[in-house]
Amino acid sequence: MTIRNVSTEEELKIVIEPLQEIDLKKISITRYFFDWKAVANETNVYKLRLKGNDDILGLMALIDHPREQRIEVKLLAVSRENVILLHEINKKINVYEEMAGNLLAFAAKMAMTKYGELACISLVPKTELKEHYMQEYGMLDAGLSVYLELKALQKLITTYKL
Amino acid sequence: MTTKTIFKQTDIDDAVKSFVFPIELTNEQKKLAADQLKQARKQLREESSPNERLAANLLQLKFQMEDYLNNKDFEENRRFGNFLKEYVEILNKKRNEFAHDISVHETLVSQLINNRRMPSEIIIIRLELHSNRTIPAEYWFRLVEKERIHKLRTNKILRTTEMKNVSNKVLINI
Repeated sequence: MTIRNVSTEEELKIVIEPLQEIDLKKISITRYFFDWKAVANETNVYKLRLKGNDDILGLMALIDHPREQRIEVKLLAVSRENVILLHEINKKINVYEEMAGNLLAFAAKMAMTKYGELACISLVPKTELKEHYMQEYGMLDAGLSVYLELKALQKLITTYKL
Repeated sequence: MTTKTIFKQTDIDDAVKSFVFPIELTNEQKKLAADQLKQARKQLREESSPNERLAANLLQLKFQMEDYLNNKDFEENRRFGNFLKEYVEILNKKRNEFAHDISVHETLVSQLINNRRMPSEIIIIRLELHSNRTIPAEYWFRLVEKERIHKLRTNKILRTTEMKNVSNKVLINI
């Protein structure tokens, strides 16, 4: 698993692992956009960091639905320095790229490991973003949700070399 | 910052590369979403080919092997033979058919599956080739190594019996 440093174009190894209680002290709404402490009470939260570095670059909240062989992505955000807001266009570039893809591929691999041919990951997108998730990650249309299963699920895992 | 504010301030392309926003659904919408997803998955599965399902199950086995190999602990029910049994079952093959595929006697396959014999490097390479390199030889080899290391670590009898063959022991404790 790697992410790309936008300035140097260097591919850097990453680790995705469960968020620990102690990490919550480092997570602010200013840097990670949402109240992850509240989210961590109801979901399983995973963090993305560079190998050999403790700084958290991305977070993802998952809910496992074993009876449906499905893992639902409830929330995902990369850290503030990796998001360009509209007023920052032409003034700033991201530090790293491909973090959301790696986090989603990690969820896909987790589902595949647990559920094999029945594995599925899904999310409910904002309506305006639905088509874009389908284009960017090969997600399939299921009305209010988009999802990955079978070939599409495998493709995401392969794309991000997990 | 609320979801609405973040969304308003973010370019759409950047948003999908940075976020999955939290969406609150009404109970009615939740039910609709669940029904739609169930229906879409059912249809996709009906249209899927046996090869797609086989690929998914082989990947599952590969990832389970990876997880086990990356974990330090030895598990009695996750030895070479247990994973080989799973592999043969995924392929839906009888043991004699699989033995024929890798040019060995059926007895050897049974011994391997029952963990009564360790595989040679030749067998390990044949397994890699048989899976069309989906499961690398290295994974099978590391399963064998993991078991050997466990046996070496826990063999008290050998340590006791070999004591008589060791003299002039180093006298420091580190």
